[in-house]
Amino acid sequence: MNVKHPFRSKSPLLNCDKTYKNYRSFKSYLIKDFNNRCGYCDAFDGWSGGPRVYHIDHFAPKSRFPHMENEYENLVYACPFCNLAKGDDWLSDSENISFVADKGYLNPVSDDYNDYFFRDAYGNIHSNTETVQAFYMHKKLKLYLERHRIMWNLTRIWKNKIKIREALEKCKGAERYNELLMHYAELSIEFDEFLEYIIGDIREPEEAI
Amino acid sequence: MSKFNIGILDDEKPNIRRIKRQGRDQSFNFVEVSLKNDVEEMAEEIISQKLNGILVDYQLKITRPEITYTGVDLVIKLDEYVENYPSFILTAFSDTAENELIDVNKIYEKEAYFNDPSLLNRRIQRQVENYRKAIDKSEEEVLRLRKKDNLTLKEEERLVELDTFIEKHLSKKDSLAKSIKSSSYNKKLDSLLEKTERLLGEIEKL
Repeated sequence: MNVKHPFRSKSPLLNCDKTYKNYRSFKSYLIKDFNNRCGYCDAFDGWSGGPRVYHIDHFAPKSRFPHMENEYENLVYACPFCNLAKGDDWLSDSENISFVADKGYLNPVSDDYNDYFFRDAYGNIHSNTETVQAFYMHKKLKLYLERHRIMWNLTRIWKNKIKIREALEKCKGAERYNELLMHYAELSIEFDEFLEYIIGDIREPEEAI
Repeated sequence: MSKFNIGILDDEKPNIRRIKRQGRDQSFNFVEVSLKNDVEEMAEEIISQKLNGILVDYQLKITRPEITYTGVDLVIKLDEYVENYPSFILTAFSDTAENELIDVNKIYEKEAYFNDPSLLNRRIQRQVENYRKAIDKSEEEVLRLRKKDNLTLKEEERLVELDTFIEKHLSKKDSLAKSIKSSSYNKKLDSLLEKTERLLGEIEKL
């Protein structure tokens, strides 16, 4: 199957003009600006236990560029996996140069990741063969991990459920309405069971709520 | 390759200065980490600083009585966060530390280290390198298996195993269960997706 889905449907957009002495104070703005998604792999934070589980990555590492520690433009809302896989890796001596030859990092805000990455029919992330820049990042951030496919498919199902609910609202008087509503209820139960299994494995059930 | 960073945690400043001296001219940098009162908070701080490992004193409350955890407690906590996190404990109380449920190879006599740092420095370097190599080796195999068109059942199992290994070495407490990645769960997820799409199509026809 040669299906190529766009890597992400909505790109992050920075909208915070505040200044703080501690970058952690920016978290609520980052959550909003990054649409509750990891800036690198686009995984929705809701499937991993919510924003408290997600990290703040410094695009140009703070250990190398301490003056960038509290600069909002340098912060990326990131899942623990992308953040820790990236670590302090940075190949240039300047905070403004994120690539050396064909190795480095694409900026999640200023670069359009859809030009560099795509998802196959199953939801696996691939780097676009027409670009060399994404290869390094794909391997370094371990975007090949199974979790990225699983999280993306959960998001797809969730979006479909919302569409189904909206469509059902519009056809309440239809003859097959009750039958389709029953199908929707069955799907919802199946989805919830799946979700409970995933979230319950990460957090104790009472914590996950 | 750039030097890696090893965090030093000790409540006594003179010890930190001495440790830093012992780490001169090594393939790693010793980085001082401010102590937090709570072990969970301390572990999270270490993870967020992206350190490659830590060297922690066993007794952290000699000058900071408000600290209720020991170096061993912290190492155990870190292991909940990251599988095989490279960590070492310095102690002047080796008997007490060795009685705790922890790998004794992580425990080193402080005075012995100050007299001759070569053994522990070498082990710190090896441990971090081995940790990285373990991930790299698994990664190579994962990428090789993912390139194959049809995996045997054994290869599928191996892929899930390696995938989980890598996940746990990044963030153990947030990693997914192996079973979620099994082919039966893949099928379940694909089928659920297909069902939602079919139902949506049916409703839109109304």
